[in-house]
Amino acid sequence: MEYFQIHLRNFFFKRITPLVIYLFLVHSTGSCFSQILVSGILCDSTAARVEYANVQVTAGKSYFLTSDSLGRFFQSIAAPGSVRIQVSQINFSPWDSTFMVNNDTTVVITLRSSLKNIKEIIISAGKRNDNNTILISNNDFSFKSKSLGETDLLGILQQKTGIAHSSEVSPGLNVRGMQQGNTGIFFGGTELFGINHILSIYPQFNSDAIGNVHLLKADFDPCYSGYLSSVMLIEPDHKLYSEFAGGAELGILNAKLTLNVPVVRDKISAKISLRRSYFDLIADAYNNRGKNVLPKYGFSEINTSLVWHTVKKGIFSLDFFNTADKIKFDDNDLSLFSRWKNYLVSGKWNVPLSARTNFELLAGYTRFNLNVIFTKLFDHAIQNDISQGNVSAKVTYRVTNTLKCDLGTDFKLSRLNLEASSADFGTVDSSPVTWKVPAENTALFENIQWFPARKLKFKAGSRLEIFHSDTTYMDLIPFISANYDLYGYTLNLSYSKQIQYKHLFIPTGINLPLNIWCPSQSDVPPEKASHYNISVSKTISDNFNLSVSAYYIDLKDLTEFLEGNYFTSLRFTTDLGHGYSKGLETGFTWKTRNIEIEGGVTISKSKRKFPLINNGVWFSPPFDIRHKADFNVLYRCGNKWVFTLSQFIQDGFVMTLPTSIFIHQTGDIAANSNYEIVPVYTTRYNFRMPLSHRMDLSASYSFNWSGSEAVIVFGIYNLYNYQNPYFIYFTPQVQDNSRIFLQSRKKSLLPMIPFVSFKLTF
Amino acid sequence: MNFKFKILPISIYVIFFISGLLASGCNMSDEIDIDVPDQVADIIVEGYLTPGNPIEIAITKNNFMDNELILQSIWNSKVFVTDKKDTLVLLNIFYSDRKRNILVNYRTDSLTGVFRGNVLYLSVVTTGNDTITGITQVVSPIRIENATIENDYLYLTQSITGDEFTGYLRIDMSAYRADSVFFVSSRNLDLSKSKSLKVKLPVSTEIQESDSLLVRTFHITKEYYDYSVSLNDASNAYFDPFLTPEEIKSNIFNGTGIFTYYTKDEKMIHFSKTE
Repeated sequence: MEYFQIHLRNFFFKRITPLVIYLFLVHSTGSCFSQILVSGILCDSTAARVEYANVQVTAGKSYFLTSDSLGRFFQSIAAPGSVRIQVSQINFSPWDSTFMVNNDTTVVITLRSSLKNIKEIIISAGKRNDNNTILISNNDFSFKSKSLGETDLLGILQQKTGIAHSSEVSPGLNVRGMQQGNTGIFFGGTELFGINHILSIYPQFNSDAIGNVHLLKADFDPCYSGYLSSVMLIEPDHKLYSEFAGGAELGILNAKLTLNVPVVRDKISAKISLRRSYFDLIADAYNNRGKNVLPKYGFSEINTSLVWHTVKKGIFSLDFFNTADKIKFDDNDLSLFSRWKNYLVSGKWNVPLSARTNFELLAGYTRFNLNVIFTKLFDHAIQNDISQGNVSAKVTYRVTNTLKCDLGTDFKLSRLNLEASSADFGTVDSSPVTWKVPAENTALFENIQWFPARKLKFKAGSRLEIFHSDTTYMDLIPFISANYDLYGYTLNLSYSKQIQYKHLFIPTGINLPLNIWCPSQSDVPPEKASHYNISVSKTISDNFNLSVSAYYIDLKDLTEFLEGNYFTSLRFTTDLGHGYSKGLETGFTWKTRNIEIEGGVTISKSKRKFPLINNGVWFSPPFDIRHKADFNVLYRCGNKWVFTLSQFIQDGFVMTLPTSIFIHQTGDIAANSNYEIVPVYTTRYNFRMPLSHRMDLSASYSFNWSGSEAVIVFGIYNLYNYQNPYFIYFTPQVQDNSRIFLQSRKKSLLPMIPFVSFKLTF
Repeated sequence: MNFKFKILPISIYVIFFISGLLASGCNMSDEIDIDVPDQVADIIVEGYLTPGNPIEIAITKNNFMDNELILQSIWNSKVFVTDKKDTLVLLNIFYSDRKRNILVNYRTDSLTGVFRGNVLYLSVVTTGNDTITGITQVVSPIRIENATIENDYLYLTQSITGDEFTGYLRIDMSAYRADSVFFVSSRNLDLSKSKSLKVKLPVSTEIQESDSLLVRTFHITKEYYDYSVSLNDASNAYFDPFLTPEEIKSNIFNGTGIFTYYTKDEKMIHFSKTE
């Protein structure tokens, strides 16, 4: 018996104990990672953090928490499913909302001091904010610096490291030394083509309609692929509203109206956002005075979202986006009429199939249509139409407590239709030149996330693409990344490949609606990029975060368009080349209850090499911005005032200057003067513009107006009135003894401009 | 209503104020000193040969961006034009041909149109021993059969005698009112696909009754068409440098320019506007 006891004890200690310890460790580690972290940030209407609020999180059982001095709270829950959060604080109306949680989730809650309590909730699932992945929530961009009184999403992103500030005429994102067409824009999961309100001073998106914006510069998601540089994910506002609410805004650029309709309380909500610009009305009034000089330009925009939360069948959402721009110009010599439209419909169904499995179905349709008609001295007509339908399905399965995988497929069918006619280049019987390119894209993708230890995270995935136009391309696109936390430092290493099957022709050099998306074909193969990235971020204190990223992007099979005069002939002459982009990005944020300071410095280099350009010598593309620095300050003064100041300085864009001129004569011409100065271009991209910099200042004042919340925003754009160069040109100038020389001049666009806007939330 | 009357005038005032600023900003330009890119020296040759005129060629140097803006003539070069059998030597004479509205510095009095063969060759040897060559096709004569104006458009019917139509035309229009020209237009047309010689072109809407329109049609080579279009594109890029700059499409080897042969015909139309 004693022997048996000893044997049993030995057996227990030698065999069972390690097993128990192992099981305990595995279980405890596993349970640690199997749990889902729900965290939140409480803010007031000025985005100031709300401290010491009572928070109740209910997910099966209830947890009672208190927000910290930065308005934050954290709670782990056992499994995906419905989560209810209730917030109470003596100065604010109670807040209560229930929503589905599938991943680690951060909730940004805006509490209202007024009696009306609008449920504002921004959910960002599992995304972190560093140099590689930028997240801007609705709550953020409501109080970020304003451009002419408007919240401009692209402008806010351009304040981040690695993204160049565009000129006032060219909206778009040049990310990490790449062209605007290398950044994909997905609205509610569906690609958006040709979004373009002329001039970048017009915000390209209505921020009132948008929940979150993510920009992925590295560490890509296999679900969103097809662009060399980066992916911008715009998530429409899918909040549930318990009461009818809305807002109206009047600014110097446009007017906005937003309505939030609780169709079925706490189950179905609809949101409608309308926007219209004024400039056409101003031009009308001005031109009616007999000075027929201002072009009549205007646009209108509609965003609608419908979201339906069910307990068993998940969440349905349907988003609709439509913009229509029109420009008309008429004088004695030239008449221009152009209209371009964007349509997008995107539907998503997200349902948990079991405690471990989640299913997502997405279907969308997007179309961009442009018509341009020139008459009088020129008779040109151009029509550009690109449309795409897409269907994708994704299953997310939690294999073990530390292993999660996504498996999905998507299918895209696109049509490009170009048509050009020109009476002065054709005969009496001429018919328009047309160019049609159909293309199909099918992909299978999988993505695995593995947490082998508490501080270590691996992510790997791949995407098998089959693209078909006049030929078929098949590519395997891998992604891999690792995250490791060490002594408070977060280290991220990633490699990913990107392949772009559509190419953006920018014949005018700036982002205009005339630009054409052309699918890859046999003579224009897909462009390829390999991203290598390393980044370190460190939260030094609760308030201060510092991050450093280094990247190298190897570019192959790049397409450059050799001739600019496509539109009369639709002949596209291209050259294939390669290149690279590399850089170092350093950013910091410092946040207290009243002050937020954000800054960043980017040092980068981007080069290209094409056999038929510059005799095959390496050159810098226009968007090779070598140095860029940003500094942004937000200061809250009490509960009513918010001040923002933003300053940037960056290298000038690269452009092409002539290497000489000559005096050309036309034979047998009847003109009075037959001496035309012709520039000779022997090299491209041979001149860097001077430095570009600007400071903007804005202030917003919130107050209660007849029971509604009103905000007046005012400020100054380009505070110190610096004339940023838009381009350089030469004019003949008479100097001593009547000798004529060429004088270089710079053209600038916007001087110092004061602005004001008024917003009413009801 | 009170709200409307009080707020709207203020907002309109603000909008007009801002619009004024925007409009003024659109014209902001200023002198700037820049380091221009490396300049490249080149020789420019422009020779337009046409029946009934002597062979006249302008041979000049290009101007660097900081040079004085004058025609920099190249002197004392040896210039030859050769057909299938004979070679003509051009003399170095700098003069202005007012009839053709060009300034030239090399000429021979042999009239074009007596060449044999379908191709002409140009050879230039400068005093610095640079050799520049060019080649052009001899195109067939063109004739205007009919020219009418209807609804602000010129309808032109032409014919080619002899060999094939190259597919490229230059059409010039000059509108006269009381002996003075008030409208001039020159267009290069690519009709190589249709090969049609019926052309429709817009004319100035300012033309009135009793005005006259001189229409001149030129049968040109593809090389001349490409040269003209590339000059136009390069000039456009000059004013908006964000355009993709065009290289000059020249048919001059070891230089830049055009050596071409064209035929032409003209017709005066007395305008009668049709509503």
